[in-house]
Amino acid sequence: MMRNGLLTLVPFVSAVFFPWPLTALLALVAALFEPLVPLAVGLFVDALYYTPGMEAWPLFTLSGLAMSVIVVFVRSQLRTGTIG
Amino acid sequence: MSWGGYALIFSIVALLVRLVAPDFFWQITAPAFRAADALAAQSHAFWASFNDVSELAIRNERLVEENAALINENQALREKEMAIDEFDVAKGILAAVVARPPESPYDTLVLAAGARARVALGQEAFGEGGVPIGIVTAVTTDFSRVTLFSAPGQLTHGWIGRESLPLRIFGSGAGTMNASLSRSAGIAVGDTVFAPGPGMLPIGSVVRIDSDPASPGATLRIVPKVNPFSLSWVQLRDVGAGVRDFSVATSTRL
Repeated sequence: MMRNGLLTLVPFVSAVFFPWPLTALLALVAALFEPLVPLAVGLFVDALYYTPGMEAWPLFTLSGLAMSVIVVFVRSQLRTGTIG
Repeated sequence: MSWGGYALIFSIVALLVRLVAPDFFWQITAPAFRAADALAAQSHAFWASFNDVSELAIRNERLVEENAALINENQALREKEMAIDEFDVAKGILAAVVARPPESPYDTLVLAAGARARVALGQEAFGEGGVPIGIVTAVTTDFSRVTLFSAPGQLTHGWIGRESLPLRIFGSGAGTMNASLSRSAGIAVGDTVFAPGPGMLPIGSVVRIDSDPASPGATLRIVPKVNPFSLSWVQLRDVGAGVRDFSVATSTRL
C-alpha cells in the first residue's frame, strides 16, 4: 500500500524537477501497480506545460491515456489466464 | 479508492485551476519550479567538480582571454547603447524564467512577470547578449508565456549569410529550427541566421545541411545562439511584433 503511494507520488515530483522522459519512465513503472497513474501524470504534465495553439492535441494526456488503457488490458488478460 | 484514483482527481483539479485561475495556478507552482532550478544548479556544480583539473586550467586561461576581449567589446557596445538610448528603443522588462525545456516539453518558457510588469502580447524575448529567442504569446497578471522560435509550427521570417538572403525559419522542437533554401545559395555550416528585432539580430547557426542531389533545395538545421535549456532571465521588449506575421496565435490564457 505504502509502496503504491510512493510510486504514484514520484512521477508527479519528477514532472516539476526532472526532464519529461524520466517522468514518462517513472509513470510506466508505477503503472504496473497503479494503472491510472500514466493518465494522471499525463494530465498533470499538460496542466503544467500545455500550450494552446501550438500543439493540436495535449500529447502527454493522450499518451498517458493510451498507456493506462494498455496496462488495464494486459492486467485483465493476465487475470483471465490465471488458474485457481 | 486506489492511489491512482486520487492522483487522477488531483490532476483534474490542477487542470481546472489552471483553466479557471491561471495566475493563481502559477503563483502556487512557481516556488516548486524555483526549487527545481536551485536543485539543477547544485547538481551541475557537483558533477562539474569531477572534471579533470588540467583541462579546467586550460579552459580557465582561455576564458580569461575571452573575458578581456569581451570587456573591450562591452565598452564599445555600451557607448553604442547610450547613443541608442537617446532614441528610447532599447528599454525592456527583465523577467525571471519559472519553467523551461526540457521540463516544459512544448518549447515554451513561463516567466515570472505579467501584465502588472507591463508585459504585453507580441513582445519579443531576448536571452543573454540580446539574442532573440521567442515571442510572448500569453499574459496573466503576474506571469507570461514565451513561445520559442524553436517551438513546433512556429514560423519566423529571417535572413541568412553575408548576403542576407530571406529565409522562412520553422521551429522543429527540442530547441532546434530548420529552413529550406536553394542549394545554389552557397550556405555553409556555421553561417549565422538572423531574425528581425531592431534591425537584424542573430538567433542561431547552421549546424547541418541536408541536401538531396536530385533536388534543387537543401534543408538547413539550425541551433539557437542561446541555449533555451539554461536560461534564467530574459528581457522583453516591444519590437513591433504586433504588425509582423507570426503563425502562433496569442491569447490571454496561460
